[in-house]
Amino acid sequence: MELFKKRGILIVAAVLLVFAFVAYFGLPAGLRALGLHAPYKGQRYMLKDRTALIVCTSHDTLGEGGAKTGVFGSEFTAPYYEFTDGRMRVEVASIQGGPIPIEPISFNWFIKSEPDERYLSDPILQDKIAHSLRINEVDFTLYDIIYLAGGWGAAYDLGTSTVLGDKITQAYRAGKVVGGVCHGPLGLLLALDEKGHPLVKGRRLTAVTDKQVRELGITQTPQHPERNLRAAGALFESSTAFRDMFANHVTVDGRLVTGQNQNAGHEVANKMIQAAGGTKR
Amino acid sequence: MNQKIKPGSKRDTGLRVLSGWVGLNFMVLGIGFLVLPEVFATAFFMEPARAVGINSLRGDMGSLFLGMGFFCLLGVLTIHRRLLMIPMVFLSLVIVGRLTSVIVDDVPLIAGGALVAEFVMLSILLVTLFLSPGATAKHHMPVTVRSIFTRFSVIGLVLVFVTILALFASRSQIGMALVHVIGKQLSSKDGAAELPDGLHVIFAGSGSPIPDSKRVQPCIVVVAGKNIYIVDSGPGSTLRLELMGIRVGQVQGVLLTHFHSDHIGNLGELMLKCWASGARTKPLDVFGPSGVETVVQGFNLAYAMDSQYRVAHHGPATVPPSGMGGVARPFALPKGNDGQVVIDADGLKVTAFLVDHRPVVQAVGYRFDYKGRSLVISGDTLPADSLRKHANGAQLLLHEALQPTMIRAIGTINKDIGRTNVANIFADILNYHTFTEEAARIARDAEVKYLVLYHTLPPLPVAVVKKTFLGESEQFFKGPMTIAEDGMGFCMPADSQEIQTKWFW
Repeated sequence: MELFKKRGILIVAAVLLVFAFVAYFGLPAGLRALGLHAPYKGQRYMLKDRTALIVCTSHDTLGEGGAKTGVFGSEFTAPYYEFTDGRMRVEVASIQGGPIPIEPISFNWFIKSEPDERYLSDPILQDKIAHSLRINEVDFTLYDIIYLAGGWGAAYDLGTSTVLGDKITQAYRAGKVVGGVCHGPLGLLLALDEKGHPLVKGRRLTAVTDKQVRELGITQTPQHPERNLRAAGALFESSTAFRDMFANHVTVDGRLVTGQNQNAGHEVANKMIQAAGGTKR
Repeated sequence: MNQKIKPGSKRDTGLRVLSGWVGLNFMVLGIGFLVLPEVFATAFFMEPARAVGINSLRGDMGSLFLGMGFFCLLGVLTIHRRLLMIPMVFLSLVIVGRLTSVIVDDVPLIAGGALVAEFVMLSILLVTLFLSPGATAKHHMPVTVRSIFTRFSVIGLVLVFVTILALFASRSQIGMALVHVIGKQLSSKDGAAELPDGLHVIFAGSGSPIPDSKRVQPCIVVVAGKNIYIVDSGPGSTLRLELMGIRVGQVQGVLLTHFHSDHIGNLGELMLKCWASGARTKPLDVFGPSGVETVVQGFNLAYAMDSQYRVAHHGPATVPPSGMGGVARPFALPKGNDGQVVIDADGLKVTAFLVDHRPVVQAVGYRFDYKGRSLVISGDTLPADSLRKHANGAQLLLHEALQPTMIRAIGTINKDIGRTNVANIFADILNYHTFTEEAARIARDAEVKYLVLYHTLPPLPVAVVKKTFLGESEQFFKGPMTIAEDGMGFCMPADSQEIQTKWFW
């Protein structure tokens, strides 16, 4: 009896160990296989010694007294490292300047991506996030690429910032490449093209879908990219999956490069470099 | 049990003699490692990395072989055939180790002969052990001091001991004998002459300015038929050329990719050796983009007095004054990807093309075409469209490569220990070299047959970091891919598709 008990405990322990092992390695791998932060296998581009600006939200809560939020991790880490590996210099700015709030879920062990890992041990980018430039004090026309990161925070302050709208208008009119992923393209809403028309009107673009917003159950934000961009006259495109967080879609319309969600950071960054005159690497 | 052969029968004696021969082989190797460590180590391609390594060669290698030989001979000379198990275990492990190397190391199987010999020896011992007479009670006796130290084995031991002492006592004579043997071998060695007609490339230097014990700074020998050209002359590489048995006196010309120190540092030495060992009557041609005049002029100037001393000492017949130094053959490439043929002789066409190593302007790569074989050398560059164009369809692409994750890690270490300037240099070099995975994509895009990565950053002093260095490159380029090391060569016989790897050092 005694022996049986001991053996029973051992078996339970072994099963738990195997389960923990499978979960620890299997869950992230399974999510990758489904399409969350799937590794980027496409062509990469570079633009030596040129510059990119990553613009993030400064908004850190979901509604009054709600859960903490901010920029979604991989939506600034993936493009930042694509730009730097593409031999560019990269600056980080935000609506208010100073420390940028980061969505706490971003770096969960089964969600965080390879560029997220790199960020977590990279004091240079950590410093740029902690001391971001304030968009009011940045001349967007000095950059070759303006990239708008998303995350729930962006649904509060990107699409309503007239400063951001003006800055993107200036950059676009100066021939620069603009774009972003997920909630980031909301920042294009108030920008104008060369002729004074809304930049997104009649333009092909993508951003996070209403379906993904519903599926994740976060509908209380003031703006929803698909709804608001369609309302502004954009020709909205997207892909779908059984859950849209596993879908990936990138749209290039001239100098306007957008990605559907957090999975598109690598590809959007590379297509932006390409649109800015980059060469294959 | 009935199949076992009778003790003392002819077959028994035969097997014992064979196994004894195996034991003697081990003894000779053991004594060899003990008395002449480097000589025997060279035969096994394992010279000591440091001078004090000679201590381990005498000790470890000597004891391995002496021990194997000792138990082998004991097994044969005493009744305890079981003792053959001991050398058998070692032999099996040696074979396992070699086969592991075949699987994990990307090097040609030069030790294949040794592997075969080891299989044969193992088989001999195996047969001897299993067919040996073991039926009588006597053979099951425990191994005791008395049963081991029989008359035969004691005599054997004494003989070995006396031999070792005698060899140590006659080191001076052995040394002189070796002067004749090794002297003849080295003096008559001609690495390039043994190659068939074709286009061949040999690395005399495959590293970068960061010290690497396996790779001095870049220098690549290109052999096209009877002609020998040298691409770049990195510090340390002229010595490697001579050790590999490349007859520098026969070199037709030098091609420089750009004028960073790691690509020109040995040019003075190379020009001097080409002249002095080849009795040249014309100075050496040194091709390169505009600016090569200054480099050649500088080295000529620095070596002017040396050359005068040598003429005064050896006389103009041995070292003709007209052949000293080098003569610059500059070319200026037009902007763009077109390139320009800089050598077209004896069936060999060399095309220079611009690459992107800004702020180094102009930096070039070279393409060699000879009798249906083609090879491209990248020089130092970022991923370049011009290179993709000129490498298109080439059979062999030698591309520089930097592993960014490793370089960043080393940069961080230097920053942490306060070596800020070194950390800054590590950060800067990321911006004008090609990442390993980028080189793989270029090879894929250009549809080359074989990719060799050289100018490896960081240094790769141990084999285990090679995998780290490659990263995910194998996902992008499916063909064969090798990380260059000094002494490694790639042979492409004329009018075929074959690419063989060879060692020249």
